[in-house]
Amino acid sequence: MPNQPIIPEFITVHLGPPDSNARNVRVSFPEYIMNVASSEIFPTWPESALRANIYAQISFALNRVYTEYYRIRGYDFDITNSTAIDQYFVYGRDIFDNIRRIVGDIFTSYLRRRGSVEPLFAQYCNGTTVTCDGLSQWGTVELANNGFTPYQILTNYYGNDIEIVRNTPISGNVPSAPLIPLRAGIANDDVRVIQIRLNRISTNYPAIPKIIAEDGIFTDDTERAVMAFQRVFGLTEDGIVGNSTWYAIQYIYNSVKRLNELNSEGIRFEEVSNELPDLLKEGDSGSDVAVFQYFLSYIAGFYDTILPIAIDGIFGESTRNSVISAQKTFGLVQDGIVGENTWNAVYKAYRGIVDTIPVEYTEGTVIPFPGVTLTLGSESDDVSVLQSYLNYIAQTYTEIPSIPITGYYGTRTREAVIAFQRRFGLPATGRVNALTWSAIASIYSDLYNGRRISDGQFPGFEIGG
Amino acid sequence: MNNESVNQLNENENKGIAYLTVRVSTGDNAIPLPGVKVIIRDGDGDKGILYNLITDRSGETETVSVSVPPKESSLSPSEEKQYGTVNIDASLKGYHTMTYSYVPLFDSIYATQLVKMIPLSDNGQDYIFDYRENMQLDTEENSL
Repeated sequence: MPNQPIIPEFITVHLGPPDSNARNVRVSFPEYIMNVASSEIFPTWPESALRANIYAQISFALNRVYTEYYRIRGYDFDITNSTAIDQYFVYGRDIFDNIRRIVGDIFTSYLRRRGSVEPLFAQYCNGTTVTCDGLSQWGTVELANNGFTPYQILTNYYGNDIEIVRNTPISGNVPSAPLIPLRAGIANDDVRVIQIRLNRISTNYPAIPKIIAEDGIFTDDTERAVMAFQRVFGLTEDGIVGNSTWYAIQYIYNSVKRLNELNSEGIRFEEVSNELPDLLKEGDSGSDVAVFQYFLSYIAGFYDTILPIAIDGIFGESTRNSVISAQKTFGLVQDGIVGENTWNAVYKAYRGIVDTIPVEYTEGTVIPFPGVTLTLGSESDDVSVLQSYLNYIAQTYTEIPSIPITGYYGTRTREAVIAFQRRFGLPATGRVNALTWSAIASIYSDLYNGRRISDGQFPGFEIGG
Repeated sequence: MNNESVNQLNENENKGIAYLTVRVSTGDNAIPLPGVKVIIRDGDGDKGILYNLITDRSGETETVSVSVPPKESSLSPSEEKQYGTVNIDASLKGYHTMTYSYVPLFDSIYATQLVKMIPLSDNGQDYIFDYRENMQLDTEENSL
């Protein structure tokens, strides 16, 4: 167990009792809580009651994750939707907007007993046909109607020694929301992050207008873009980036980015044969495994019942679990072994996606790491690519010097690389290994793709007089 | 439950208004899908069509209103219907049609149905999986 609880980026929910052969679905943690809240309680209830219930639901789920309750018992999921033991979760259901906004606001908070570290195992029941030693759902309505705050409702059921822990970090690729919401008049690095990410999202969602200057100053066009984002994604349209909007932007950006990165990754496999090699199974390794992992990870972005995995060429336990999740999804024998049926099903699903979605979403726009560290004295086409990426980035991040594109890695290129590494928290070695290359390519991709404009999309400046 | 006649009861049954938007995407929100045909049917009786909609460039339909039981019915435990339901079908060429049955809607509440479309695979007939979700909220364990 980790020391301090963190919020998982995603949670895997088993759609039935633990030992049933039900599918597992992987959803973002806020989406999971929004679903649970929309399923367990009625959205028409007073806000105080809604919040109290949602704190309990968050804590319950975090307790399962923190204690690894199911994982240590050998299951490959975090929680079930069996209401006898866990929380109601209805796969694919509608979400109520008021619940979305509350959850977006508080999903990084949880309950615990003073002096304890783990999230409270906050049990609850409806309070009418079922009573229990915990929160009564109908009881919260009555208390809310009598003017109780969420905290007062919670202490009423769980005791006076509980506290609410806030602003918990999230695991994975989700930076923490700033403590002070971003709005007009604020200028800082978090604003710049939002500007770049909104521009990247807006390339896929053209109803969101571009922000001309990604300079960290929260101007009118930043506010317009934020409001358009809020409108599309069902958030309060106030132009302010608080918790709810910050995390919604991060999750949508991550989805957009993930697809882009997989496309770029795919460039590596373009030359590889798409025929099934011999059976692939746990313990195997090599490029055949990597290719299959690539297809699996790609389709996992479109099927939420298929688990994504690292493309590392090693067929270990997580690859096996992912294969089983694909076999379960496609109605195949769940043996974790990649034979002809499994290969065909996965490959056909992959082809189906790539052949159907519009081509602009399948292009990889950056070149993957060329496989050799670039350093002072290197001379190649890859160095030219590196220099052009750095130059593009330097237009936005002015602390990075621009350099001529010569294909030769001289002292000026080295200076630019060091400036980049310092700016983005990498070891300032002045050498471009896989890590530095990926970081440069990623920032370049955001900025480049962020500037692509679709038909009818507002480019962020006034046309005419 | 007070002593109303059956006729009065029917009149009062659907005096509430719920609001629904459908947003369609693929790739876990990475790609919005415009041009999706969305059919919303009454989920309570004859399943007559309430709305025929098409999604915009954000993958969204317009927000529509649906008659549902009044809010009061969901503010205390009751044997009566506390919410209304609709059926939603979303279809687009090249993708599996998604169907959602008995989608719950509440008086004065805005709801969003997210539709995560999946591209058809080349050999689609062999790998059809059913995304019909039966939203039965009234089982013993999870009823309110």
